[in-house]
Parts: sequence; C-alpha cells; structure tokens
Amino acid sequence: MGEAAAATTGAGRQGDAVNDESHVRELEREMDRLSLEQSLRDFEIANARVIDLTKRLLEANEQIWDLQRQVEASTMRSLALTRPLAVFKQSSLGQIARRVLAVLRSLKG
Amino acid sequence: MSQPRVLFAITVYNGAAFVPDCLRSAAAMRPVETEVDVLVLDDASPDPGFSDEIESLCRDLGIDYYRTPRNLGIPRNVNMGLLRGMDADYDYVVIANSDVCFSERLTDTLVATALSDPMIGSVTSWSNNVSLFSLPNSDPDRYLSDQVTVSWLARLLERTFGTQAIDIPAGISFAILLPVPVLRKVGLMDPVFGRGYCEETDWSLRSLEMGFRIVLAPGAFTYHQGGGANVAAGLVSAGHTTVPENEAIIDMRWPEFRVQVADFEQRGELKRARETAIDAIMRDAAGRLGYVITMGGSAADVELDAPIVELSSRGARLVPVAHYLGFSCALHIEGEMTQAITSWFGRPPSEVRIFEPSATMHDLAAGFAALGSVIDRHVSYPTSV
Repeated sequence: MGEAAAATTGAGRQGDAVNDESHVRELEREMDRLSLEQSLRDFEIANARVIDLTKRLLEANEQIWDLQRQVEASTMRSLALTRPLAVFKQSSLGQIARRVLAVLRSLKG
Repeated sequence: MSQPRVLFAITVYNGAAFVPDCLRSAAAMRPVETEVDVLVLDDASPDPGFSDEIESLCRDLGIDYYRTPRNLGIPRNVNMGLLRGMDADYDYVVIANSDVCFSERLTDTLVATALSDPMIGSVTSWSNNVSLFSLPNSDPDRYLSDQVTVSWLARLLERTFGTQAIDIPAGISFAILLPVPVLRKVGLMDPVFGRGYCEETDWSLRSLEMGFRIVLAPGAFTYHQGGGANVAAGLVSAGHTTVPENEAIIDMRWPEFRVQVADFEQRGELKRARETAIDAIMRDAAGRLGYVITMGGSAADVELDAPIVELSSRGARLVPVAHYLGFSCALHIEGEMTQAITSWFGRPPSEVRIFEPSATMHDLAAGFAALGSVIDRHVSYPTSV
C-alpha cells in the first residue's frame, strides 16, 4: 500500500482511479493521442516558419547583393574621381604645387 | 453547484533529489473549494531508473503519471498539460515545477483569486523564488522548504491578503493557474522557445494583448527551490537564470516589455505587499511563540525558533530589526521604545538578551523587566549604573 493511505487529492476520486488499470491505460492512450496530434501541429507550424524564414532569408540575401553591387559601383565611381588627382600629384606640376603650398603655409604660420 | 475542476500538471525532468518530496506535497493537498486531479508529466527523463521510480511513487500516492515517448522540452511538455486540461474539460490548469512544495489549499486560493475578476488570464502563486516578484528570504532552502512551514505561511498570507490580485508584467510558470476558457483563446506555449525559458512571458504578453490581466496572488504561497535542476539538466548555464537566446525573442516580439517591468517596479505595489507580509509573519509568530530582544548582539548569535528583535545603536537612535525564519524587517515604530515594541507585537518580549549594553539599553531592559520579560545578561554588566 505504501503511501496510498495518505494520498488523495481534491474530492478523493483520483486516488482510487489511479490504481485502476483501465484508467491508467485510458489516460496513456489519451495523452499519446494529444501528443501525436500536437506534434503534427507543431511540425506544421515549424514547417511554415521554415518556409517563411527561407523566403525572408532569400529576400534578405537579395538585398545584401543589391547593397554590395551599390557599394562596388560607388567604389568604382570614387576611384574614377580620385585617379586624376593622384596622377596630378605625381606630375612635375603637382610637385611644384605642393612646394608652393608648403611655402604659403610657412608664410602664414 | 459543482466545484471548479482543476488539472494540476507537474512537469518533471530528472531530479531524484527533489521530485519525490514535491509529489508527496501535491498528493497531500486538501482543497475544500476545488476538485483537483494531479498529473505528472515526465519529459522522458534520461536518468536510469528515475522514471520507473516516479511512476511507482505516483501510483502509491494516487496521482496520474505520463511519460512522453521522447523529450519535448519544457514548453511542449507544458502544452501536454494544457491540452489535457482543455480536452478533458477542466475549468483550470495549474502548471507547476517539480522543485516546489505546495500548500494544502493552494488551488482554492488561486481559483478564488481568478474568480475575483473574469478578465484575469493567469494567477501566479507568491513564493520565495518567483523571479523579481519574490518574497525575499535569506535562506529559503533551510527555513521554508518543509510542508509544515509552507502550509503555515500560506494560511497566514491567505488571511492577510485574501483574494487580492497584484497585476504583474508576466506570469511565472513554477506554479501558475490558467483558466481553460482563457487558454482556448490565447492558445498554447510557443514551441519556438525550444527547451524552455521565457515561454510563459510570451504567453502572458499574448494574453495581455487580448485584454486579460496577469496577476500574482499574494494570498497564496509555494516554496520554490529554483533553477538548480535546470542547471543540472544543461538548460541554463551555471550562474545564469535564463536563456539569452529566448530573451532575444521576447525583446524582438515585445520591445516594450522591459519598460513595463521597470514601470511595475516603480509602482511599489509589491514592495508594500512584501512589507505587509513580513509584518504579518512577525506578529503571527510572536503571538504563537513569543519573541526575544537582543541588545548589542547579532540575531545570528541566537538559535531560536521565535522572532528575534535585534536592537542596535545607530548614532543616538536605537533601531529595532525583527528576524524570523530568514525573513527580516525594520520595525517602523515611534514613541517610547518599550511601549512601542510591546504594542507592535501585542505583547512584551518573553526574554531580553543583553550582549553589549549601553545605558539606554539598560533602561529599556528595566522597562521590559517591569512588563514581565526575563532579562538574560551575556556580559559582566552591573545591575545599576
């Protein structure tokens, strides 16, 4: 009997029922049924979420590609604009201009 | 009229050190206004022999047991209880952890609180360990974990607070009551929270969005050991009390939640309830057991099963702080100290223990002696100065 004497809850119905084999089997069958049904629902929900997330991932990937293309295009434009300046700085005229600038700065200082 | 039917679902995952005591506590519940069926939901505990032992214990205790065919994680295991509650047409489902000790009439108090307003969507029991809503205690495992203490505290708090409901930002599923009609509207815990943590926060916020109230019942008390089992099970890291990934989901779904928590703390309603509760604990214990005043020493020096009032000097003032069963409170009293303390407790102290007295304390001791208190001197101190 163990602790059964001290073991009733509520109106005391449950203590008797738990030791009835048909109640135990019935509960297990009901819980298995609920578990299976809910697992299938959980699977459907999880599947729908994966599909939704995959769609959003693809959209986000597309955005990333677009942004990368924009960055590359901007870099190219920037290079196109800065290259003549670099060429000028390397030329004799550029060298002279730099010295003139240095003299002007020292006169100001 | 038939009584409200409550399915009391206890989620279990390993825990040989604490689950049996929890189940005995559940089986020992004696509600008088509710009809309770206890169902243990064993989430395919992997410890060898554990599930067989728990199933056998459940049979001995006369409570239902179900072991899932494979591990589901907390949210989906909780959902098994919620589904059973809806499927079998219960009126309420209680979801409880397995490292707790229940009071005899827990379901009566939780249901009565829920019935106080039809818009209440969940009722969380008060506890020593219920996140930021806890009733603070210095060593709950030492002082509060036994059935007798839990039942006494629960009766006392029920007398003090009745069916009062404190609105809180989110329920805590260590011992939470959910009305089945609300469950049918709000739905189950979201399995996106994986092995668990924060799923009840998400559920609470969904219910709040639908207009339901999320409340704490200060009139109910459940001892809760806390997250040790979850650390052991690898659910949370040592030193952590939650799962950061799941908090990130809450932050994303409910960006206003942290502000709501801060607003709740600012409201001060829980602080007042804590003060009321600890005052009631001190007065009730002193009424039954008497109380002792220590002067100049520390309450920690005194091993006593009764409230201890520690009188210490703070500048020119004497500050009385009461201690009992790990609870502490400063006594906010005015006027002459002997009369004020006697009046606060409704009786003079049974004993006054003097450790390092000052002249003021000597006068006080003389005052208490005149009221019949025993004076116990622990220092060589003259009887008159």
